[in-house]
Amino acid sequence: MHTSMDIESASARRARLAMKVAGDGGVRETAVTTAPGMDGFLRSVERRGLMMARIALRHDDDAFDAVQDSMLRLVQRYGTRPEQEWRPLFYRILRNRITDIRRRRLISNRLFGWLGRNEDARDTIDELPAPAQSDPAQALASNERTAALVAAVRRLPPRQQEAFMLRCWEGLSTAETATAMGCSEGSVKTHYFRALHFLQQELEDHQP
Amino acid sequence: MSDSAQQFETAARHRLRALEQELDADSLARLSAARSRALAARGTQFPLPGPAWLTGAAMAMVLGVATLLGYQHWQTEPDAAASGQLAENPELYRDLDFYMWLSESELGNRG
Repeated sequence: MHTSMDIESASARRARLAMKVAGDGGVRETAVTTAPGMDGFLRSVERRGLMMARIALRHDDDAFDAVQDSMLRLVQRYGTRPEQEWRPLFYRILRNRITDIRRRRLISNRLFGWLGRNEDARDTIDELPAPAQSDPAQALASNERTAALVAAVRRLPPRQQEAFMLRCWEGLSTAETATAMGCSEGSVKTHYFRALHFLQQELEDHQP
Repeated sequence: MSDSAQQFETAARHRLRALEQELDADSLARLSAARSRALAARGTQFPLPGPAWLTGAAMAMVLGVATLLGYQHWQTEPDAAASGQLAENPELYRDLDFYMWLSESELGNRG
């Protein structure tokens, strides 16, 4: 059974092999070879982007769509931009996609809500895996704290949720977060302060 | 930021990032496939319309409308031109009858 590490090293192995073949051929760099810059960057944001999208959308398939679309748009439209711009750009695109999906869902629910929603696509963010810890009690408590944190982040208003995920989780600077959110740095600080305050109150009994 | 807020921030970050590492194999495979598709799409982008394109399109539209209006104007112009010319030269009207009679007479004399 493949683990996450096996899957990643297989992909990296293929990329290295492709580059090696091109090098042994000694002729040219082919377009097929993976550019380490963009490939490496996408690897660094894909997991976090998916988790953020799952929290924001509460729908697995929608979350995957949002992340995939964001990767595609970043590569196609902004791939030639300086590498240091990719991270805030990616999250800005992702934020826009999440907003689009929410709006589409809102309209769809209003039009077809009486038909009932398809529940087949599960929301896996609620299915937290059993942590690999020796102390079951500690593991359970840890799992509960994480679940409580995620649930509290979900209850944040959208802009505060964005600010929290980008500043705290991703670690973007205030300026980068402002770029990603399309607002001023002052607004970022306000949203983030309010998000932290809300979460601290909500999680008083479940300190992360 | 207060110490408690900083501690909370640090702990929350640690916990959320740990959550990422626990993604299941199926999700990781889907992400890998999405990444591959995105990378494969490099160089296939259609250029976004820029100012030059928009200017060209606007000019083409103006020329098209101008041509259409000009054509319509031309359709009505001949009569207007003719009537205008006649209006400017009333003597032509007066002499026209004479010339018509003259031509009929000549034809009659020949016949």
